[in-house]
Amino acid sequence: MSGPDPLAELLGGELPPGLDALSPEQRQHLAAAIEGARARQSRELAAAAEASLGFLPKLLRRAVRKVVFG
Amino acid sequence: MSTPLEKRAEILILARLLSRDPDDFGYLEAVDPSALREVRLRATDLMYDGDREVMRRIAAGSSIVPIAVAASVGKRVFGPLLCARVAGMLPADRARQMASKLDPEFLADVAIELDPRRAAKVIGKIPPEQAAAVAEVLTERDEFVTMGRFVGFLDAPAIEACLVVIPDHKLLPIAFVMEDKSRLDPVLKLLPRDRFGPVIAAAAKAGEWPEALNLITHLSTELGAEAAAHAAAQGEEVLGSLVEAATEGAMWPQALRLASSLDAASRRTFAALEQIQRPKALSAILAAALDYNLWLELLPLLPELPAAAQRHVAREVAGFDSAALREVIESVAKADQWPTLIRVAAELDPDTQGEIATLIGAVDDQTLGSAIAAIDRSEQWPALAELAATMPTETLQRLVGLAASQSPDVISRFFEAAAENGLWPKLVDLASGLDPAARASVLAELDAATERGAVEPPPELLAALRA
Repeated sequence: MSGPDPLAELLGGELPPGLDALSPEQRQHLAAAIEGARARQSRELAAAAEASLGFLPKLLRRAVRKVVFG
Repeated sequence: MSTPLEKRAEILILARLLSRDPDDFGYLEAVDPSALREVRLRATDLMYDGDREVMRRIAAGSSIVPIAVAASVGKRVFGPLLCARVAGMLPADRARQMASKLDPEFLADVAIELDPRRAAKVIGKIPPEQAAAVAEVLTERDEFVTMGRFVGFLDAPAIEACLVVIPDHKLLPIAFVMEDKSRLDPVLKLLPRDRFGPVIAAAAKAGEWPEALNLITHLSTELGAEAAAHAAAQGEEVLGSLVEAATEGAMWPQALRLASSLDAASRRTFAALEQIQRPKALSAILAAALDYNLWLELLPLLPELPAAAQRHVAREVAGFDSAALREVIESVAKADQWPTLIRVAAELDPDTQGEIATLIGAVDDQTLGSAIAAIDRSEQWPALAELAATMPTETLQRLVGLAASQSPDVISRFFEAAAENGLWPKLVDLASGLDPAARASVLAELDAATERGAVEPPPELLAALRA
């Protein structure tokens, strides 16, 4: 295969030989699906973490913010 | 052996991880399942490790909050995704205490998002009643992939409790996508025996024989035999649907393993099925035996096949090359299935008979001796005599010598059968090689056979025996 392999780059290095059966377009599709899922989850996690502070009792909010966000 | 089904299972699990439709990844059917699994595990690591530091701090923050408050915030604000990520970073006891404050519906949502590898300590100690409550919700939602991922991490009491709430027809779909198939055997041992039959009947009804056959290959011999017995107990209609599924889905390697576990009565029922006697099924069976060297599994079935089916088998065997025939003979020797071989060989053309006879000649004395004893027990001398006509003289001499060393009766029965097959010229040569006791016994046997009009030995044979 010519050029960088987006799937190998995303997954941190050499892939098992079984993946050779995929065309460059298919590897690109799979890489995009994995990256898309990761990015979506990351956004959801950040939003949930930020929102959670507002729901804590006032007395605890400051202490927890310090631990979580420094 | 990797099958399209194993690939399908891996694609289902990957699609679930990425929250996508499995049909989006049809092209992955070209990839080996072990490679797909590695991609999935690396994708899981990527998704979980990217936010690891933030998750660790959230876990630390939650630890200074009372458990009831943390559980409430977890459900109302964190949501299942964040809870799933944090769960593995909490001390196991605290995570379990928090889980005890949450309802099964929410815990089921968390389970879907959880990587069990990262929360193994928590999952391993989940109380059985709570595991069952969550399993019930997941089962209602058909979340088979999620359940399949957890099986390897739950302890036996929790699995036992889950099995109670999962209906028969949903057990197979879960097992099919089980992450760790080596757990299939211990898990099935926890399933009450009276549910084996209904599970198999449900699989047959839902057209899930390919999945069932695929799973049977992961079972121990003991449980495989139990599964086979329960399949046989379902009756001819269910067994017939198994044969059709195995033929259509190229699953005979698995089906042969199942059939080899059947007891004698069930094997007879199986071999007598109309579906198995169809040329397409027989050809598929032989192809499976040939490709995967499953002669040991197939040989016990052959004697039970009706004569027409045996002739079909013989016609196909006639097309085998020498290497394939050698494999067959080696398996015959291992399984002591000589009478079966001799019976099938009797249906073959003289050239193939000759090739088989030569291969038989290549086995050692001990094996050939076992073959003679087995043939004698099953009264297969006439069929052997027919094959003997194509044997090289040297093999025939060994055969006669070994038969004579077993008992005069054995050698006498061979001579009688050979005489009936018109092997006179060969017999004259062979008679002179026998010891006096064997010659006397053969002579007595031939005299008796002559008297009842069965044979007409030529004078030169009688002379050789009297010498």
